[in-house]
Amino acid sequence: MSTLKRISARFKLGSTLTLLALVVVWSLPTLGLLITSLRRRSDAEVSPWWDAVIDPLGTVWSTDAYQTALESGMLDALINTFAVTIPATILPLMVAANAAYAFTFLNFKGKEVVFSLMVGLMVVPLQAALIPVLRGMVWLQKAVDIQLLEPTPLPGLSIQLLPCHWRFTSFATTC
Amino acid sequence: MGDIIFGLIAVTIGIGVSYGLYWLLNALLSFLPEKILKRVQWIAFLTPALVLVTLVLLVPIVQTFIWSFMDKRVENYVGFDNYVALFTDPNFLSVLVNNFLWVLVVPAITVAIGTAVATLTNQVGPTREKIFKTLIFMPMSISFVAAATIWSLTYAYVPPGRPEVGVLNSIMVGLGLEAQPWLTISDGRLNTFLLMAVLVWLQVGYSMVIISAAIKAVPEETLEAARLDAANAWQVFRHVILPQVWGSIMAVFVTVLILVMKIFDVVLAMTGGNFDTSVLALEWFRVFFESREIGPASAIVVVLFVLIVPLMYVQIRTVKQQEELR
Repeated sequence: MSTLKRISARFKLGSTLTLLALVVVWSLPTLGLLITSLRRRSDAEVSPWWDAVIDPLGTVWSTDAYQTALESGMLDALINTFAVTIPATILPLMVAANAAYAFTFLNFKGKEVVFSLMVGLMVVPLQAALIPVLRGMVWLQKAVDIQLLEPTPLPGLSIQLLPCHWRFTSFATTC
Repeated sequence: MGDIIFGLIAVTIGIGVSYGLYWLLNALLSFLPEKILKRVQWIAFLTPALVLVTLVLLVPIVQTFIWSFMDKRVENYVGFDNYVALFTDPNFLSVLVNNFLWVLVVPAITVAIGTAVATLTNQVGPTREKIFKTLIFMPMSISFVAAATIWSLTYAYVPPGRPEVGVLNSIMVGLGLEAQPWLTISDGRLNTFLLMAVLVWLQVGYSMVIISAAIKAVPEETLEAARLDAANAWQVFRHVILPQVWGSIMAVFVTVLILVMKIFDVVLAMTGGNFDTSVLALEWFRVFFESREIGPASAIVVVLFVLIVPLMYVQIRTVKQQEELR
């Protein structure tokens, strides 16, 4: 008993096993998705994904799903993702770093108030500002004649689940 | 290919122009004499941030507030009609209950699991710690909609007679119980709790990372002192570690709380707000994008905004406290 206890203490058996259980639960959903993506649709509809794990040799593995995704415009969506992500990462950093310098090293009237305002506004739900911003863009679009909200086919935004992109653009045209 | 080049050019120009703006502001100010410069230099650093915040947040928020007292097409003022309509609608009250449940459950559980994982991984040695942390953190990099897709495999329900493909229902059948259409069961808000699991799954990684860093920063001497006083593992955690990481725990709690107040994507992607799972942000989305009723939609968002205002205070206080610690 005492040896068992010592080994258990040495390898931190309790903590490790608890974590192991948690990690398995945490990884299962993603694992399921990965395996489902590598199976044929007809198989995935009639048998659960772990059947493929239990019997890997009897399963037909296929990359059809990836091909379908690529052909249905995933590449465009990927480009859009980058076109949004890169500026959306760099620009806030640029603006924030400059503002942070002002708040840290410079002294001016109302510093505390402006700082609190900025921090407080972080919490505001974007929805609170979205309708007027959308209207503003439509107005800008009409004023400068640049298509900001052109209903381009962006499959990345109109994820098959929710045709929210066409809703967005169709709204914008009537705004 | 053309798209890639176009995107690249757009991104480069956008970033370049923004950088140029700061450069220009700075260059303009440098013509001023030293004495005045010192006093107005903050303008160069802060103006773009202020202009952005004013244009895309402050002014629109005021506008939304005004619109919430107007009709569907924002042509006439209707007083408090939109709000009266909301609070006499049983459906909206059910939405409020859902939001309340989300706020009550998700941040607490997320922080609790995060603290537990952070404490446990701290004990098992560097190799295992890295592996476990990576796997727990992984969902953080998955978008909400993708997470919803992943979890729909877990909650999947097939009509009776066909083989089960969902994890949860397979377990039910394995235990000799009947398969359930999980996401449609609103008794006791079961489906809302199932949606919460998705968010907890996503956010525990974040909570773990922050709290783990705080635990590692706990001075070794304090732990040593507690051990010399013959404190057991639980006592060390409860009376030595926990008080020292409490600030970080609260910071994580507030961050997750704010996120949960605005929760939207997970619900939209998994149930579309049907079966009594709708939340405020989703209700706003429906009224605005599907019914195109600007006034009522603004009223919903103002309700959400008012509920969030106390959190603004908490947020400002938390950030200021962190500032003072430095």
